[in-house]
Amino acid sequence: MRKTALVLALVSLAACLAAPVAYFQGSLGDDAMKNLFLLSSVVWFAAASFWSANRL
Amino acid sequence: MSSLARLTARMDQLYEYDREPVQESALEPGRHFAGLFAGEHVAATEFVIGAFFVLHGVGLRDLIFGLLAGNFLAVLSWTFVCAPIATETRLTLYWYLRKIAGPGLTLVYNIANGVLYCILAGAMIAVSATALGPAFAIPSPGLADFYPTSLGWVLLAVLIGAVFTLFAILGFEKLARFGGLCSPWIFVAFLAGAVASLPKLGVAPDLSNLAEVARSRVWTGVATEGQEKFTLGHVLFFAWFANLAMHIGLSDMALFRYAKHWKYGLYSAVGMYSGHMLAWICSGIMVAAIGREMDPGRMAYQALGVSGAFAVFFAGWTTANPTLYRAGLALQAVTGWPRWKITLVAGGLTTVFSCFPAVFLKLLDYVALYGLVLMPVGAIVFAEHWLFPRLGLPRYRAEAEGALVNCRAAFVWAGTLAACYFLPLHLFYRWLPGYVIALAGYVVLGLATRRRT
Repeated sequence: MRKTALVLALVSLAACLAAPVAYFQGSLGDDAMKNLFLLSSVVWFAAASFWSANRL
Repeated sequence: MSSLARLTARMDQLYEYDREPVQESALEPGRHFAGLFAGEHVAATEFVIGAFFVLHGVGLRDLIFGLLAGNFLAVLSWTFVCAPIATETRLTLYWYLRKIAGPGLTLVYNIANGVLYCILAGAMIAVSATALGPAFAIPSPGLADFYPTSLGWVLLAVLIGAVFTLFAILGFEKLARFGGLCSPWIFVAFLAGAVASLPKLGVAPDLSNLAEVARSRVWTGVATEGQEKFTLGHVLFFAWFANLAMHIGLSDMALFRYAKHWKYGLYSAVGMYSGHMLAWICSGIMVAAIGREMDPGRMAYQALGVSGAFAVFFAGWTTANPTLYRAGLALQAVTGWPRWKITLVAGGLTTVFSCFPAVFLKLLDYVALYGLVLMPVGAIVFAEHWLFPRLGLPRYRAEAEGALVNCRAAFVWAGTLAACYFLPLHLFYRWLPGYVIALAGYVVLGLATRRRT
C-alpha cells in the first residue's frame, strides 16, 4: 500500500508538470491546465501524506 | 550574579541538548544534506527575488553567468569555510562562539539573529498575503510603498500572521512534516508556473524563439521605473551572499556537524541550483508575463490559477514556520519564558513587520543587511579556528579566562559594521571587504594582546 502511495504521489507530481507543458504545446486549454494542476496537486498531497505517515 | 550572567546561564540551559559534540553514530549520509538543502532553498522569497532581477533590468547573459558563478561561490563557501569547522568541532555555532566570544556576546548574537529572523518571517507572511489578497479584493502594495497601504492589507497580514503563529505554537513538528511534503510540490509549481507563462510571452511551442523572447520580454537589460539597474556583479554577489549568515557566517555549523566529511558542503549545490537558480529564473518569467508588476500572488495565480495562489501561500507558511521557531528559540534566552509564550511574542513582532510592505519590497537590500550584520561573527570564528594556531596565538581565551564578553571580538564586530557603513561601495559588495577587515582586525588584536601578556 505504501509503495502504491509513493508511485501515485510521483505520478501526480509528474502530472503537475505535464499539465502546463501540454498547455504550452497547445494540446490543453488554460482552464483545463489549471484544473489538471489542481487535481494532481490534491492527489500529491493525499498520496504523499499517506506514504509519509506510514514511513514514520 | 550580574543580570547578563543570569541571562547567559538561562540561554545555556535552552541549548543544553546540543552542548556535546555530535557522536560518530549520529552522523548523517550525504542524501540527508541534499534533501535538506533542496527543501530549504525553495521558499516564498524565491517568488520575489527572481522577479526583482527582472524589475532591476538584469540582462539574460548577466543573469545566467551571475547565478552560475554566484551560486558556485556560495557552494564553495559552505564547503571550504563552514563545513570544515563544523566537522572538526562537531558543535553548533552557538557553543563554538561561546568558547571564542564569551557567553555575553553570544547572547547579543542570539538577539540580533532572533530579530532578523522575525523580519524575514514577516516578509514570508507579506508574500503569503499577496496570494490571499485577490480573494478579498485587497490590492497588493506598489513597489514604492513602505508603509501599510490599506486597512484591508493590515487585517490580512494580521490574520495570516495570527494563523502562522498559532500553528507554530501548536505543533512545530507536524507543520515541519507538512513542509517536507510541500517542498517538492512548490518546486514543481515554480517550473509549471514558468512553463504556463511562456505562451503569454509569445514563446513558440517548438521553443525556437525562446532566447529571443527571454532577451526582449523578460531579462531585457532595462530597469523598471524607479528601480536601480543591476549588472552581472549585482547578480553574482547577491547569489553568493543570499545565505551569507549560513555559510560565511557559519550558522549552518548546526547542520554540518552531522556530516561525515567536510566535502558534504558540496551538497549545498542541490539547493543553490534548484532554488537560487531555477526558481529565480521561473519567477522572473512569471513576473514578465504579468507586465513586470511585483505581486507574487498575482503572478502565480495568473500562471496556475488557484493552485498558484496556494503555492505562494504554502511557500510562505512552511518557510515562516521554522523561521518563527528559530526566532522564538533565539529570543527565549532573554526572557526565560516558555516556548509558547515567546513564540507568541515573536509571532506578534513578525506580524507587525509583515504589515509593512517594505519587508518584501525591499527584500534584496534586507537580505544584504542580514548577512552583513552577522558576517563579522563568522570571520572572528574563522580567524580563531584556523589562523590563531598558525600564528601561535592561544585559542578560546574567553573560555579559559571565564570572560563574559571577549572585548576584542565585540570591538571587531562593531568596528567592521561601522567600516562597512562608510565603505563607498554598493550595499551588495560591502560584505567582502568587511570580511577581510574583520579577519585582519581580529588577528591584529590577537597579536597585540599576546605581546602585552
